[in-house]
Amino acid sequence: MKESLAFDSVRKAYGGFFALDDVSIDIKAGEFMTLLGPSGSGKTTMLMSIAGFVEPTSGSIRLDGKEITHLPPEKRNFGVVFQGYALFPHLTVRENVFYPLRVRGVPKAEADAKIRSMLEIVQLDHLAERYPKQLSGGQQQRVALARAMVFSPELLLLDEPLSALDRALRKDLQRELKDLHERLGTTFIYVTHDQEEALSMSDRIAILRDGRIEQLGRPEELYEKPASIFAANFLGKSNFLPARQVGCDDRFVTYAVGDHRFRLDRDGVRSLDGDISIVLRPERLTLHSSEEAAPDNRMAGRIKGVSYFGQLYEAIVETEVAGDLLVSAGLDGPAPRAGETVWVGWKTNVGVALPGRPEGADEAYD
Amino acid sequence: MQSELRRPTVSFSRVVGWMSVCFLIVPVLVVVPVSFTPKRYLSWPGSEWSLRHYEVLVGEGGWLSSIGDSLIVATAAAVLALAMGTLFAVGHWRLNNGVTRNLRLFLLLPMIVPPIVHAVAFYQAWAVLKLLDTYPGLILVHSMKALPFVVLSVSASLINLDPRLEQASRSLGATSRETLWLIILPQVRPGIIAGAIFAFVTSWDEIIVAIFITSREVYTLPKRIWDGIFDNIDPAIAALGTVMILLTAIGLVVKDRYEKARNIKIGAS
Amino acid sequence: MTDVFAPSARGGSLFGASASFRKNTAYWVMVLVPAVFLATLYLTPVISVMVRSFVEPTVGLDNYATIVDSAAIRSVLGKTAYICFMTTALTLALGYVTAYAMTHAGQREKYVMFFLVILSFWISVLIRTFAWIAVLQPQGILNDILIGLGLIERPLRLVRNDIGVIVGMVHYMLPFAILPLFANMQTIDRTLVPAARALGASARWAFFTVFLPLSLPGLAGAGILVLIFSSGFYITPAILGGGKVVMVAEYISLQMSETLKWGLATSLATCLTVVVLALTVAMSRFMEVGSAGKRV
Repeated sequence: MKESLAFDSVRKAYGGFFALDDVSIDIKAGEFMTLLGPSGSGKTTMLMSIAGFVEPTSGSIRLDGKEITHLPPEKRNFGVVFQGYALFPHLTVRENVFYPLRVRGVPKAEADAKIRSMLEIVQLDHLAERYPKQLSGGQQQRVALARAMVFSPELLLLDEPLSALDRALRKDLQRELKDLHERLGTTFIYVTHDQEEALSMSDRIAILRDGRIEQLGRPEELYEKPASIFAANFLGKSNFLPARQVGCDDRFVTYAVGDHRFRLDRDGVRSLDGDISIVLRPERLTLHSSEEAAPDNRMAGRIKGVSYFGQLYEAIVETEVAGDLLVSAGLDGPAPRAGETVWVGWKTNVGVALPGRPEGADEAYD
Repeated sequence: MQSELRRPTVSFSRVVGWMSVCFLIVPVLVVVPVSFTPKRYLSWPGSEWSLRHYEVLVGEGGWLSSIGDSLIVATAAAVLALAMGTLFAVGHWRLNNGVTRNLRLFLLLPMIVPPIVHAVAFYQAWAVLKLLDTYPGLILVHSMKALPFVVLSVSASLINLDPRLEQASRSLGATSRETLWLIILPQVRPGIIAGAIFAFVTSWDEIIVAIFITSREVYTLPKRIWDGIFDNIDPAIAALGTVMILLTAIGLVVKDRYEKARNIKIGAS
Repeated sequence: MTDVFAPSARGGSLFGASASFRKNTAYWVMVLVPAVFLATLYLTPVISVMVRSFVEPTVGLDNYATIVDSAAIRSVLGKTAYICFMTTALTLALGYVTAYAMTHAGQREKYVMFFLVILSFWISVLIRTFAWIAVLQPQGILNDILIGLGLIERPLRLVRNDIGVIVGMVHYMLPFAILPLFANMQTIDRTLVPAARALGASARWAFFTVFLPLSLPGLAGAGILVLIFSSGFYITPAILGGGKVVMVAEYISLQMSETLKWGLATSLATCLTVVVLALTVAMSRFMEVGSAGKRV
């Protein structure tokens, strides 16, 4: 039952513009794979080429070793949940779910049983005779899901399925989708631009940018060890210290930001020349009232502003060395207050060194 | 709500607006009382009302046969226009390139070119093709004149059609033909119905070309009205007008109900 | 992202175009069958009208010279222009105010007005013109009422002259002006005029500086539409003009059926077509051609 999907050097050109540029990826059977990226990054094009609506200009797409690059969509047997759901407005919930079985000529009794059990799974059995317009957004989403799953597709493709829903409902449905994935074992390929959604649901995430895969990996990997400034910026919040590498011994690499020096564990970073950026996640930074209390890596600063988020505080600390730093502070310690003079500290195992500087960094740091 | 409260009860635009609406409706409604006159000429019925002019309509005067002729021509023209127009609208919607956009403008021509030019053109051409005063001759002209209205109304309902519905259907395993029959055409049904009504009424009301290309064999209702007006201002026309106004009003109310019911059920489309 | 959903996005190179043609053969057939149907049975007759205007009775521009020289034709064209202008001006004035009233009316009132406009729109033009005879003729209802009220002693002449024709034509054209104007005004943001008022503009000033400029494209579109229909109008002038008010369409028909001057008839028809097409191009700048003749 379980299939694995492979992209081999897939390109899609529109005129001179590459919507997909040499994309290769292997999606494992039963995996929850998320394609994450800003709009225009190629994630929807990628999904649509899996579905069969976009024909690659070159390269091949294989399902379990079998070439499907030029197969028409109706022959692929993939379920697709469209953005905005694309429910047929002139058909009832039951008729919508019946549709894929109808065009496959599934006998009535068998179809009825499948529809019933599918509607039960998505908890819509009591609304089977309604029309889509008479349902709420969340219910419509469930119908779309039931319709895409009822014919036991080999893959389920989801194109920003939750983007039209409000925040609370989105959280609920994220959990339901995750449950469904675990229960059915079908491969899910999920497109979103919402990083939180990607982090909380996926087995693996592919970050896309300008038609290319920027980074591919497990959510923790991507978050803790971003491979590029783009990836660091796109997934979560980051501080970027404009640095140079000035020394290296058995245990530590030493960096300089202006005249200020600090160290990171050697086995956690790459050795790099030229302009580099040190990525520090705000929740990895700590605030201290005195220099003695702070770890070795530290910087003096003044709190410019504080925002309260319920589960944490976020403080913007103005430092002479590295400009403004964003620091998250838990609720256990004393609340940071604007105007306070503080020390920002971090351990030697929490930074990532990346080549280059973020765009617009020159104005920010000069 | 607030604007309702603050809206002045009498304003210049409201007075003129209602005057215009009355100007549109009231003179037309004059045919209703006039149709009940007992006299042989066009007049106010006074105290005595009579149905004699309605009797003329269903009598031997030829009105019924003209209604029959008009029904034949309008039905055939509507069917032809509907088939051609729907084909074109769906094809154009799917291809939507420079070629089909220009073809669309071409198909709208019969709506723009003045009817008298059509009269000259078809009087000439049908004489050559021996189609003068034949049903096919008039049906062809009327179907071409109705074609733009079908294209427009079917296109209008296709514009509102979410292109993802087609993709959804294909992804669920339907071929493009199944998708056309099961998803696209049911979705544009209101446009097709509207197009059919437009086409029928275009033919049912058409007079100018009919004057020139038909004489005895095909004698449509508008042509009989036309002749009736020029011969003696026949009050039977008032009776006919009353019936037609009534049917038009009923038709509009039915259309309204249908649309409301559809909206409640499956949303505007 | 959106290009992914546009069917037209595929194919750019020649190869791509022909590949897309093969893939879409069925759709091309759907588009081409009606087009060929119309090209053979519609375009050919219309073009042969134009051709005939240059070859009958002699090859050349004689017919067009006649149109320019003949005093009779000049007076017909002058009359056509005059009636068209009066009809368009009156229709626009009434139509604008009516559409404005409908736009600002409450739900119920708007519905009733809209229903009545649409109703008149759908009633057969022959029946409507017939009704105007009943109202306007010397023994007609209007004269009866006016005499009955003692306002006049002898019946007014209201048909077989310009007045009758203009009244009948305005009556026919009014819905064609009201409906597009109303549609246009519906798109104007309802908060703009209150915003202008809040900024200190008087009601009148707010109307002239905010609402009117925004509704001008609709007004221009509706005006040209009415002009297009008026210029080739036949029925109302023929019936309510009673032979006394001859506009160009009726004049063409007379050349065809009475005097058999086909050269003149076809050349006038050609001119009329050219004028109407030029007006249509002008109108397309203000509104979509499709939305124009549409009966709602």
